[in-house]
Amino acid sequence: MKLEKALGIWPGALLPIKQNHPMKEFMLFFIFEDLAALEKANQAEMNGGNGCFSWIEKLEGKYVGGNALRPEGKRVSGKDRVVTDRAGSEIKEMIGGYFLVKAKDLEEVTRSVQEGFWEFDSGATVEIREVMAMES
Amino acid sequence: MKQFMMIFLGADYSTVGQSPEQMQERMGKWFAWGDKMAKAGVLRSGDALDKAVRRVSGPKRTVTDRAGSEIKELIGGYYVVAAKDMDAVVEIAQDYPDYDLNGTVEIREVMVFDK
Repeated sequence: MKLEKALGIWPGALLPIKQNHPMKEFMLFFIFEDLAALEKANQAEMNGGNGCFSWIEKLEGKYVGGNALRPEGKRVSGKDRVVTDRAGSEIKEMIGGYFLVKAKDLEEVTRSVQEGFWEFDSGATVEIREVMAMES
Repeated sequence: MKQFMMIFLGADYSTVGQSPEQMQERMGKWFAWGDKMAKAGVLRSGDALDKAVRRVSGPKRTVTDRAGSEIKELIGGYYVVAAKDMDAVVEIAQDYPDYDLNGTVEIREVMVFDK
């Protein structure tokens, strides 16, 4: 269960353990150049663009979950836990959403991302990160 | 209940000079926090992420690999929680263990679609 994985991890102290099943999990963060780009992408999907749905369909059982994130948010930061509002044209690199997917390896998920993510032509980026897992 | 994502940003642990004892204590705090949220029934999902970063970018779908240790605001992991509003999540985020390492919690509301 993913909760146990999240709690049982000590980065760097343990080598990734070979899993019982061959699939790894990867987080895909959808990163937009700025707020305007993010809002434009959201509008496109709301106006009947089906890029998101099409990719989920293509992924079939490899799609574990995902969400779009509202552009405004807050950050809590540093020793003094300073709270700042996050929304504004000056912010670069906004995470607009994510997918959690299964794949055999980084190469497979990279190909899937290149073929599936629907906002590359507008200049967006997908950050691919492997989920750290422990044998349960 | 709304859902919110807490995205954890900060330098990779290998770059901040923590002794094994300090790391053990830090991991204990992570465990305690996850446990606290689970017992409160607010934890929906979460993962720690391996520090290798691959990005695929732009019209050419260019692939770039970077070592996590080079990135100051590395996404280290995330939790998705259920909460009434943003202020409630700011409260939940007070237990984040890495403020002392200059870490940051970014809090974003999950968008719900009326489909």
